[in-house]
Formats: sequence, C-alpha cells, structure tokens
Amino acid sequence: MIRLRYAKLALCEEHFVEYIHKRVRIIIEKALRHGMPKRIVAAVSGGKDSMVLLHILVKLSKTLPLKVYAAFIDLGIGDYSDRTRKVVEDYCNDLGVELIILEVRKVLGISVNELSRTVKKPVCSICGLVKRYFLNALGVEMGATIATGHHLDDIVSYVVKNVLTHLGEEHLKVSYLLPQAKGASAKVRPLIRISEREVLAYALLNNIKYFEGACPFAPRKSIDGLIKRVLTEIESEYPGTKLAILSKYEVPPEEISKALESSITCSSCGLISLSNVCAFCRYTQMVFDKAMGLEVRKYIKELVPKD
Amino acid sequence: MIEVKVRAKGRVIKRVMLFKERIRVIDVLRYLGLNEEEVIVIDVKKGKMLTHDVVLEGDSEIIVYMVYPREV
Repeated sequence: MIRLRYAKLALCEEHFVEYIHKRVRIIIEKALRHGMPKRIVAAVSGGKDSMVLLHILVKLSKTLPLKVYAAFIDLGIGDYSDRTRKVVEDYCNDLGVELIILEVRKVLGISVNELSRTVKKPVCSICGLVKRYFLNALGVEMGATIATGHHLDDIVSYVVKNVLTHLGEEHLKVSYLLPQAKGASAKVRPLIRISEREVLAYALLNNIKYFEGACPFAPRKSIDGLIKRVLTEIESEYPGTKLAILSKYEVPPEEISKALESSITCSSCGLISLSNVCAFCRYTQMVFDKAMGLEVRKYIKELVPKD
Repeated sequence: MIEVKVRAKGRVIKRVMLFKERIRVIDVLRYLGLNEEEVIVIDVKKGKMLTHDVVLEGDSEIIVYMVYPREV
C-alpha cells in the first residue's frame, strides 16, 4: 500500500501503477491534441526518473499512437558514463526499445569536463548546455518530440529557486509541452504532475534497474536539493502544496508557442538561440576555432533511425 | 527484533535493530527523524510497500528508501 495524502488516497501496488499510468496518459493525450509529433524520444541518463519515464512511455505506446525511442548521451565522464551506459543499454534491450547513443567525445574529441575546463565554466553548466543542444538537435533531425524525466519536485524547485533568486515571477512560465518552433524540437514532460516519491515507488514496484550513484561532478550541497527537502517538509504538513505551486505557474502550451514566435536561430548552426550565435557554437568556437554546431547536427543525422 | 535499513543513493546508510515485539512504521520513522513524505517503506519478507500506520511484528525486516538523501 502507498498513501498519497495530497489525493487523499491509499492505493495497493497494482492500482498505484494504474493511477500513475492514467495521470501520465492525460498529459500525453493533451500534448498529442496540441500537435506533438508522435515519434517520441525519451532522454535517458540511467537514473530512476528517466528510466521510469521510458517504462511508462513503452507501456502507454501499446494503446496510444506513439513510436518510442530512447536516447542516451555519453558525456565521456570515465567510469560514470560507462556504468550508466551499460544500465541504459541493458534496460532498452529488456524493453525492446531502439536506443540512440550520442557520444560527445566522438564528435567533439573531448569530454564535457575537458570542455568546461577549457572554457573556464562550471562543469554542470557546460554539461547541461551540451545535453540540451544534443537532444534538441536530435529532436529536430528526427522530427520527434523529446521527452524528459522532469517530475513535479524538479519543476516546483525550479520555480521556487527562480522566485527566490533572480528571475522574478513575471517571466516564470512552465508547461508540460514546449511546442515545436524554428530550430527547436517539441519537448514534453510527462511526469510533471508526479512527485519524486511516486517516481521512486514506481521504480521499486516495477523492479526497474536504474543507476543509483551520483555524477562525480555533482556538488555535495546545492540550493536545489535544499529547496526540494524544504518543500517536502511543507508537503508533509500541508499536502498538495507542490501541485498548488505548479498550477500557479503552469501555462498552456499555446502561451509558450506565442513566446517562441519571436525566437531567433543561430546564424552558425540554425538551431534556436537567444542571440545571433548560440552558446554551444560560441563555446566550441573558443575551443576549436570553429563552431561545432553543424558538425554535431551532421553526426546526429547519421544516427537517426530510418523508419 | 525488527531490522531497519535506511537506503539512499544506492547504499545502506544506516542499520538499526529494534528490540520490540510490536511497533508502528510511523514510530520507526519518527525515531529516525524522517517523515512519511520523504520515504518509501518496503517490507523485505513480504515484498510489499508499507504505509505509516502498519504495525510491524516479531521478526520483521524493512527497508526505508529515502527520496532525498540526508543524514539520519
């Protein structure tokens, strides 16, 4: 049995799994109605969130018009990347899902930590940039939707962090779907209404083998972790707080589309950018004396499944 | 005797033996300084997930999975 206090429910194992499927299905059906491409690529890292996402998508694809793929980015972080890759490969084999492996070292010749050292930026910010770039490029080349394992706790902690720090409330918009735009693939967050506790329970109940370790570069202390813990404490006293915060900042995908209408594309690689040249092309230009965006797109094009 | 293992980040971070015949899950969590929202409790022998109000009896063994690892 699991007790979900925000919903005033206590569910047995079987009905809990059914309940999670139902809630993710609602998000996917809404996204499909908004024109989300039916080819869907689950971005998997080997951690529990993305593995649970992949498991649910595969289950739902039996009754929904979805063609599910998985994509793993090999960041070249030694033993950590090897171990997470093995976990993902084994799990995709078990599920019978086509896995696309994008190797950063193969196209850039260096790993993300080496890249971050060269451009003198924190490794986590360069890693995030590279992952976002590779996944967006894959989505664009495939004409597919990229599904990520961001769950309720991730989104709510992002919102709270931005309210507390710099961005301010007026710019904060979150949605389960970021529609396609010039140089940007559609992105969906099917777990947006599922808490991390539910994700963990789902993983344990379905015997999902995920990588439990942490990235060697993950900071010991982070404001995100602290916010998540504080929010969980508030949630235990006032169930439903996380969902209430989400609903305050959640906007329909149309509003995101409108904001994306004025977006521009990188003059070098043609993918979505905030300025004339995107951050990825800018940083790679600094390191290789050549913007690598187009090289990455060419590399990814060769990996795109043909069907 | 009731054996409690607390797991986080893929390993057991605390192991406690409670010399009690009967104890509720919520009391075990309180003893560890944890709340229900940050854990998933599994009965190892039955392979079942437990809610806070379940009474553990005799030779039970439970694993407390922490959602957000921290010191307990």
